[in-house]
Amino acid sequence: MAKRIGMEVSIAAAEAVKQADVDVVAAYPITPQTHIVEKLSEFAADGQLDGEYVTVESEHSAMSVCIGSQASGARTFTSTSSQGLALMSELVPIVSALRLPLVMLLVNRSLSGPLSIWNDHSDVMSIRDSGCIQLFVKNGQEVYDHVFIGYRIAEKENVLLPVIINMDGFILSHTFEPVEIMTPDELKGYLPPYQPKYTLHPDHPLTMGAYATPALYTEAKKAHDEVLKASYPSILEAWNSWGKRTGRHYRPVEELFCQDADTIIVSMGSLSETAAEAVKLMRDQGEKVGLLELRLWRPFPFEEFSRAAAGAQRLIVMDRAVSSGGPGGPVASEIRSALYGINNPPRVDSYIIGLGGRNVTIQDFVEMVEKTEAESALSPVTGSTYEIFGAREHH
Amino acid sequence: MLEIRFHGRGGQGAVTSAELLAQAAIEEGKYARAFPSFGPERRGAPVSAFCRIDDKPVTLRTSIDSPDVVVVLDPSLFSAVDVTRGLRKDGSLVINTKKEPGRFMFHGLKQLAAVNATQIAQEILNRPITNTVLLGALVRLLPVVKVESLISAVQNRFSGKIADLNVQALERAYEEAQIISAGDVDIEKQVPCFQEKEPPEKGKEDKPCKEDLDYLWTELTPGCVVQPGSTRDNLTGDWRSTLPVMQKERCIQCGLCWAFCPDAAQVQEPDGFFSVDLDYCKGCGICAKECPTGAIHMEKELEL
Ligand code: SF4
Ligand code: SF4
Repeated sequence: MAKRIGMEVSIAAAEAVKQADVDVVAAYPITPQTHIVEKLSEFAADGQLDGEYVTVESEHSAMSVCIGSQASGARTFTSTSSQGLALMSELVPIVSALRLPLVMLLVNRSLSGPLSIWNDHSDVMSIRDSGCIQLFVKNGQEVYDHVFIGYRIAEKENVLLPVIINMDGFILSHTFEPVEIMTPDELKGYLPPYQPKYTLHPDHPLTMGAYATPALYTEAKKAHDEVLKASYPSILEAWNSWGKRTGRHYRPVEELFCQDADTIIVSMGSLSETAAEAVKLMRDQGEKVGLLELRLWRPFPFEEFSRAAAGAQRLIVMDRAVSSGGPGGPVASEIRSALYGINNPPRVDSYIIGLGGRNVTIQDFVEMVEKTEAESALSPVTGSTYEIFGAREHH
Repeated sequence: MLEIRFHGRGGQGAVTSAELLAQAAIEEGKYARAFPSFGPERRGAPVSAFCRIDDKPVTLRTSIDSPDVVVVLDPSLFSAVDVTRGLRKDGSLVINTKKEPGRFMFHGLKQLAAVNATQIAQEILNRPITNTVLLGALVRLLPVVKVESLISAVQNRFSGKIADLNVQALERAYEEAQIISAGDVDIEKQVPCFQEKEPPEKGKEDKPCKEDLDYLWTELTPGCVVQPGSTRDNLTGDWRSTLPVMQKERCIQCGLCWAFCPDAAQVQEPDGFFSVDLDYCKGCGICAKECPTGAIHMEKELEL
């Protein structure tokens, strides 16, 4: 087993990009993604990154360069946060529609306003429907591993879609923690050289990004949707073969004490670690509480999710973004529809927490569980639409 | 699990201390996590950093509100920040002070290590960066990690001469640190530096402290518009690590210090001379630079 090395998670991410034999990095620095791209530009400057670091004037340009370089057949990487993603968002559905297997580390930060540099998931939820594969990781090791896993998924001939890896800003990106860094030998063969299906080249002219009239747009969308859904087995394959190699196994949903749980907390990203501690604490006190960690966000793992959650009486869903005027947090709404129509569905309660960097503690989880259990004694079927947990109501 | 909180000022390396300690622990095969209190960084402003060490994987990412150990990198912080907030009963304290260390003892504290870190850092590193110095004192007090592991973490982090000097500073602090245990001083007979803390309620140990801004959501203006005069509520005095000192004899009452002070911290007294409002002076030194007669000079912020 490789040795655990202490490093900042952002640096581990940059290390993985270097080891993944990326040809082009195009990115614009923005807090809290900065340390990743700073390190990569250092690697490029002193020849450690066998590729090109393209400095650009904005995130819009960063994604434009990524599209161009991917189209020419280069393995490409980018990373951004919050407003940076907002600025590049015009191009995010394009990179996926062009079926370019870019990997992006999205260092999650709240969208302004009010202006906030801290962490939540409002940025990623704004591109939920962009047709990219999207997943969440919770610690430094998972960040490091998923750079390789991401390219393996993205570049499969039957996938060819961008993969967006979500990692929480600051609380994950800026933490110094142990990470096992793989040796080139250990990595050998996991990531075959990128074989693009089509490349832009003057000798073999072709057109990418042509427009579609009403006669074609629907078919194009249908084809894109089908390929995104059909990427599921390829995602599992990439995880399984990584698991065999490293002993670190990943699933679309990770379960902790879900089998016999009456109440299941559902969370995504690094919050799952605190949630796991809370669940262990409540288990010690004899409460039948479980944790369901949603790792794969797109394509949504409907089947696995329903199977894992079906036995519970209550689901407490953590959302870190608000869908204003809507039916609840984006994750909770998704889960309600995932469970629609099954027999005896669990009650689903939607809590919006940890907005704009607000600390979420073990005690917060305990409170949410207690509150939900008390309320569901009165109404076992329908859960609260949603609650923005911890917003100050009284002095 | 051992939880350690570091207090420093931006630029003193509090975050580096936490990371070096975590690095040393990980080198020894333990598990550790270190991270800063996240926010905009301002040189001189109080910052904190956190480190958790355990024999099994550390999974918590919340800030440390009830530490086992508190390390204070700068003596001026004792008056600016509640450094011992939430410190567990029988906890430990590691401080940078040139004062008699016994006076920092208080009921409920098990032990403390004191070292004149500013002096050691000045003499060896030629800069008041006290992070590696306090780590030397910390491992003398508590064998959290081996000294050798810390030294190798320092050598890993810095290169060449800087690494050597930091190792020297660390070793000297290890030698010079004064260790005081609970029984060593008669607490009743001294003016306490710290008040005894209420231990956190069971199960509430990780409750965050009350935040400075505690508006209710119903109290915010539409669009969070800020009314004029908001800097009045924002006491910038705790950013200060140096203090402007006036010599009346030289002052010609020209008012330039008042005019240039970016925080309106120079206040004219009835006698025509100017004095500094310590709630707002952030120690930038502009007044000293602009004063035409040299009536103002900057001094290091006082300890306590
Ligand atoms: S140092 Fe002088 S100029 Fe700066 S804030 Fe203080 S009083 Fe004002
Ligand atoms: S600038 Fe100097 S001389 Fe002028 S009022 Fe201030 S202290 Fe006095």
